[in-house]
Amino acid sequence: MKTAVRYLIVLLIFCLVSLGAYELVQKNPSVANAIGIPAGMDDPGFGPDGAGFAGRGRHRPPTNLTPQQMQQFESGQPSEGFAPNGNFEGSERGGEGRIDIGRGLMGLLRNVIIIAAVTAAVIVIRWLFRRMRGPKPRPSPAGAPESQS
Amino acid sequence: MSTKTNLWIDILIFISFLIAYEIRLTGIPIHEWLSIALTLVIVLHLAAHWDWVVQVGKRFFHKLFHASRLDFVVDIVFFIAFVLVMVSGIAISRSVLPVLGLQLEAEASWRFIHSWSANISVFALAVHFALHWKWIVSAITRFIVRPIRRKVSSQRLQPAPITAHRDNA
Repeated sequence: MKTAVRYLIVLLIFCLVSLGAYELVQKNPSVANAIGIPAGMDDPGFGPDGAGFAGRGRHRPPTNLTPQQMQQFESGQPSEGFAPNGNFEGSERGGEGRIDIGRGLMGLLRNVIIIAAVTAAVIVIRWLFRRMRGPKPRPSPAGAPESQS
Repeated sequence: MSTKTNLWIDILIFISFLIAYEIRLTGIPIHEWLSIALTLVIVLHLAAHWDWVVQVGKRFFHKLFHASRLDFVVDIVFFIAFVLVMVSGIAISRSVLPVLGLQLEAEASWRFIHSWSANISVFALAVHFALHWKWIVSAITRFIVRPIRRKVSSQRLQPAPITAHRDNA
């Protein structure tokens, strides 16, 4: 019972912080500017799905299209013989989300190295800090004289 | 919750975090569902250490310099970064939300927050790991290294099976 209540409390805190963060970013566009997102990055873009393609890999209208091709581009219909990466889910953002075991393992290794390096640095800093402060004075045993003259 | 259970939960969180972080290793659906499962396990981890959180939270302002104060600050940073990762991840979700029949407008700001809070989470995890280094080493020694050593040494000490030699000479 006690554990269940704790679990619910932590979930509640998690939800409240999540909601706060969501509201803060969603309803206050100045937050996006404050954290350094370049202006115009949130523009809906020109592609058929608007904001879904904002940011990296944003679709821009090609300038050398015929009116018919332009109409196809704006309606989002692919022209004949054109297969836009099938139904691959990560294709719309320059391949982000594509499974690449080699690169994935390298990234995993990189993160392990980062964690190991930061851990080593923190342990060394703590050790140096303790050494600088010196050993803690041991409390004198009960009844023992404070100082001997 | 026993120390052994805590250790296994922590190992599970650590490995899941590393795997979920590498989207190229898992692809988007596993990345999203694994992250949601990870959130539930982290909530369990927090609930298991709730007494410590309350205790340190109460005496936070009593003593200016204290080791547990640093732990507390790092844990709060980690918690906020992780919550931001989750919220922004849900906001740009392409696998979990469609299953639930929801579709949010994926803004670039959420993608930016997602990647940056994930990077901060890795560093916060590393510092959190370092600050609890002694506990991790002692728990791994006690519950993983020693039992393995005991098992290996008991296998070595076991007498070889006696085989009967029959000489039919």
